[in-house]
Amino acid sequence: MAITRRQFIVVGAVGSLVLALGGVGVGLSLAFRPSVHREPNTPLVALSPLGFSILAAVAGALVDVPDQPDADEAGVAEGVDALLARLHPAVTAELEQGLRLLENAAVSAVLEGRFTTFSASDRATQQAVLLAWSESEYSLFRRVFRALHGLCMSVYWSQPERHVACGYAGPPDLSMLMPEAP
Amino acid sequence: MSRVLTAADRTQDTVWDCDVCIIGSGAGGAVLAAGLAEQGASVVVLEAGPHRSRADFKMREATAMMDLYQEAGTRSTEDLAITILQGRSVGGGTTVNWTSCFRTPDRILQHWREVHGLSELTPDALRPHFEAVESRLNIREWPKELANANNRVLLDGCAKLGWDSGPMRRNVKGCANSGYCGMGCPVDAKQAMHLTYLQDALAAGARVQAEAAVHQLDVEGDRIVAVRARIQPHGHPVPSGPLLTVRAKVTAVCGGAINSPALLLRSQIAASSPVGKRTFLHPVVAVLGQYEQPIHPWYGAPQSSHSHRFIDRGPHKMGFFLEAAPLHPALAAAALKVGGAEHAGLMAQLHRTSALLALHVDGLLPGDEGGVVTIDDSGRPRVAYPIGPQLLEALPVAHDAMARIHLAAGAQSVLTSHTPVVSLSDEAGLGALKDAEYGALKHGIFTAHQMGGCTMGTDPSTSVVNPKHRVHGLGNLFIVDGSVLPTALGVNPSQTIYGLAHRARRFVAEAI
Repeated sequence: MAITRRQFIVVGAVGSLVLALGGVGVGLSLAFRPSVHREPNTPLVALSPLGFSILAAVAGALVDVPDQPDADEAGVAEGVDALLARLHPAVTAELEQGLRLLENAAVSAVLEGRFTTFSASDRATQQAVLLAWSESEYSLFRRVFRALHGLCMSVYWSQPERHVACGYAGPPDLSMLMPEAP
Repeated sequence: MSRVLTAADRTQDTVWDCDVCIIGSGAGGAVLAAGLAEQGASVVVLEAGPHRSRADFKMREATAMMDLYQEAGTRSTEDLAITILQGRSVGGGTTVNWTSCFRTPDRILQHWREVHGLSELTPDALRPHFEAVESRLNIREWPKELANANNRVLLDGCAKLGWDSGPMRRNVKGCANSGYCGMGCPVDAKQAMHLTYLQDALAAGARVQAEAAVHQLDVEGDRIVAVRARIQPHGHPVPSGPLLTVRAKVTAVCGGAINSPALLLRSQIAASSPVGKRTFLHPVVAVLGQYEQPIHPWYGAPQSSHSHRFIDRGPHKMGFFLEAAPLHPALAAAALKVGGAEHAGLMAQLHRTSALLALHVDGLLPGDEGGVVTIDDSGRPRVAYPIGPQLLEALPVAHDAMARIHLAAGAQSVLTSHTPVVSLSDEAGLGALKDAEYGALKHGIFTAHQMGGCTMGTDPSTSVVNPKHRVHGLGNLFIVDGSVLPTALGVNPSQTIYGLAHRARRFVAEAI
């Protein structure tokens, strides 16, 4: 994901707004309801503590599977952190920008009338925000949603313990497979 | 016979001298390496990815994506609109492709001759090369009766609509029909490069070095004098190991579309040629069908059928072809661009869900220049791919076609990858597809076929390599991979790359 200041400008009026607010966003957020810290279950290897906390909130809002562990229990954010450690550091830096944009209460106050940071919002609000971003007319917000959605969902659903929830019995016992074909 | 060397074999800076240095071990590089080594040339193959084999292929998505795909499976266009699935291990894309094989269609070769001046690329000229690789890779038609339920949807739906469809040819031997081609074949049935041509190359004395990321080609005058790589042990985010310098009489870049043009750009080579331009992706959209009966879209040969009903849609319209796709859980979960309970509900039905794909043939129409590969400040490739008007016109037509096939095959409901999802349950609902929005970030788009970026042609101002794969203006640099394709193909590209690489052996050998 590439969320550079140049690309913010491309977004247009909203980009200008975000640019204006972005530099002071975290500070302004403190004037509203601040970020909720989430302690990782394993030492972080790529993300910052704040980035991890926001990501954990995102994962919690995206993953809602009946009779299955939630994203926290499944260690989704920790899994994303481990994946990021294998990628170029610029990828993590770009993702952190996206997470901070989502978290930024100053931005959300202007755009959505939400006066709390994302991580401090209740689950229903978080889900509503993500839904709005997924369908936003602004491609920047859609890009942030896609990046976070893809990482969280693929980490959660790649865990073998989750497969029962989609009717997947897992890899076959090769000795039991169909007869050899040409 | 020597073995594939890994990062553990390179503990200090090394310099190798050889006749030919081949950068990349996939469909192009492996075929080239085998032929040259068997002719007696001293050959070095450098592969950025790790060496993995049957024992490593555990049929688990998480490890497969980490081990075998570019950027651990996260590669995409810079706007995130198109997910790019591209292999990265010894064997390149052939380790993870779905084994679908086609010769280059005659109509494409004709287009290349007429529009791109590639007069030598006739069906007759390529036939012996295709026959050779078909023999070595055991490329044969997969029996219709072995098609899995997912591919059966395509065959049955097309039959009921009166649309043409047919079985696929696959490069397998002793296939267990398990369905895990995309995670590395667990039974060595897929005749991928690490089992075939690279073994031939090793037997003939070639050195194959894995985990060696090439960052620079040194140029003096019109010659490449050194290939500079750095060891990148698998799992490390950046190359940080010892340097490996290869001084070769001839260098062949075979890193595939995206990575090959990026290497030329980093090396500031062929600056007057359109390096990175005309990158084609066969942009893919999927439509899902939910059926009463189980589909189990994860089991069985992933692709064993196709329909080219819409390949020629008339003048000024982009054609597309139809195939099936496996739906393993993580892949499906990432593709369904919704969250929360809606996502969970769709996943709960995955075992009875079928996926059809439409692959759009980019690069054939006037004005369709595809995408562009550039590099960022750190030298990493970036891909920009604007959704042009021809593709935009084709997307709803492709959605409509796939929806009709699903309905004809008995689907209870049909779903798109739009955000939000568009769904329908009968033909009366097809209008919803016309009303939907199409384009970047409106719905899922992905690519498993990367082509172009170092295109072949006779004019240095509009192409990067000449018809003999030599980079214009350089005496000893060749490009032998999918990046030389002047357009997309309208079929899966692996066999075209095998065949062209087989043909290119002679040209590279003559330059030693």
